[in-house]
Amino acid sequence: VTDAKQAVMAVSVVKLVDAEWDFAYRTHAPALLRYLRRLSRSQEIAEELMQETFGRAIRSGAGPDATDEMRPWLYRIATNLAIDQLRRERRLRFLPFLGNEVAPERNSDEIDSVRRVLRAIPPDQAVALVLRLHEGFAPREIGELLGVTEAAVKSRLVRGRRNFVIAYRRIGGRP
Amino acid sequence: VSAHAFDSIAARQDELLDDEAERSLRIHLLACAECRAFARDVDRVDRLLRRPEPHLAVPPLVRPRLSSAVVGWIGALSTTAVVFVVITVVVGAVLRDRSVESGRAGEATRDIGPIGVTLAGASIGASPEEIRNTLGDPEFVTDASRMWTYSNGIVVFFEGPAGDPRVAQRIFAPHSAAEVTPGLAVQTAEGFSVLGNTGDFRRAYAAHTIVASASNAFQPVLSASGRGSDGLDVSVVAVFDVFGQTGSGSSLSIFRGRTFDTFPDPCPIIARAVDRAGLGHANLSVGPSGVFPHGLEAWGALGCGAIYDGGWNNAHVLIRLEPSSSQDHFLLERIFTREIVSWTRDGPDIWLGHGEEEARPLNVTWSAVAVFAEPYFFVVTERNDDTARRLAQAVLVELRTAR
Repeated sequence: VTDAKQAVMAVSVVKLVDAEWDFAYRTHAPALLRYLRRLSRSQEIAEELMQETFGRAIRSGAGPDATDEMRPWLYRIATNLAIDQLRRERRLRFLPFLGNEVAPERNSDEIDSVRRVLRAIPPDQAVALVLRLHEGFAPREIGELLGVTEAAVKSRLVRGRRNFVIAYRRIGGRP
Repeated sequence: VSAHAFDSIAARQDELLDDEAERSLRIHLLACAECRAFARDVDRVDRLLRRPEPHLAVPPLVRPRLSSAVVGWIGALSTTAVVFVVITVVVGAVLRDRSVESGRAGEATRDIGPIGVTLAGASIGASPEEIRNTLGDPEFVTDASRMWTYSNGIVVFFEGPAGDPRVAQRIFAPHSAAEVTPGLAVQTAEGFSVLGNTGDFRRAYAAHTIVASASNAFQPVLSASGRGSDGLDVSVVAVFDVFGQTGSGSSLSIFRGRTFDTFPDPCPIIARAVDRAGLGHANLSVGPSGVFPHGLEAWGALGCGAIYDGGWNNAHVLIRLEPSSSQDHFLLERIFTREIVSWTRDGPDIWLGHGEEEARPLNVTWSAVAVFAEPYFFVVTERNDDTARRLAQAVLVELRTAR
């Protein structure tokens, strides 16, 4: 077990009542949803992941004792779910051919292009980039979230940036 | 331009370079136009990534509906996982007999499960060591956290020396006497894909499915298929990172299953079955590709027949699935786990299931699905069990006749 993992596991948890979960939801759900949207194929998936984040949190029966630990704790759950989803989509997503597909515009919405490229690069790197640049976590905090060392996070950020640029160019985008 | 400069440029964004490295990079940038362009792009990318997602309406919190008595043990199991397990057990029980029959005399019989669980020598939950032994490649490096096992096979993430094609060749060599197609370029974008030239649709489809779902980027693929000594077919698909190299984005997928060489072309069987069922085929489409309206075209590659009226109402669809293809595994999993809410046995080789999902572009609801013996045929009708049953029985007769 790494130091980072120990740090995460060392978070003191207490039993929370419904009102406290409601407060946590009101406080953190909007940002979590945007975070998950950046990493998801659709808003529906982002919403599902967010509900599952809180679902798992509530099912666990307890949450962080300190209020300021709630955010990273929830992000950690959400990140694990997002990474699982990214990996699952890479391998198991059956293409439904619904009949109403529209070929994507090469120059579609810029934010959508960012999301697409994030799904094209390795999930670990995508998550690190989003946590760093979209959510503003420091590499040390990201390491605690992901259960890896700060050095590993920095490495992922470096490779992620490089891969993002190249992948972005490949789909015809101009950063 | 060396990759090192790219890494340094990326590292500089987080102030990870020491003074000496920073100075070296500046000197390098003076002489290297490509790296200067890359540096500009990295700056822009950072700005792009920092751009916030638009505000989204937050739905109300859906509280988990688990009683306190089961919270403890059910914990991390999602509803989907539970459903999958249940269905796998049920379907596995039905199909296990056939897999046992497939074992050769004198050999240990391998339970391949409903849709081919076992990889030769390695199974669900296999350790990296088992994978390595299975691959016969002592240099194959991975770890458990980078390995996924599914009911239809195993997916392994792996890393190797960047750009070294020998890694891929090593992976393929033990698994296939078939040709290996290096560098098959696949362009994908949000569910659309254009495959490179390959004469083997099954192989292509395996690559298609995985790569199309992998990303929207260009990804070189290596794929091969062959038959193992145990008589099970193996499809191996390697997906490399967006740079066409082995790297952290690379994965190796291995699917095991059985082939049904007796029925290489399901179309005549489907056509005769439709006749036999008395449904006529004035509006029958049967074929591997190109004859279905948009949306069903892809199903056609699996071997699919459809009966419909002029407006695509009142449609019945016959799908033939060959479980040795990974695409079929995906479809099977999808049907088993998502589409069908309940199953009832309706005869020795027929199961009926009812789903709730709308099957666009057809104006029907997945309502009656008959599951046959190998090769699996699915009949999708418009809430009409009798039609499904009739078609199912007709296909069974045709299969027996063909044998």
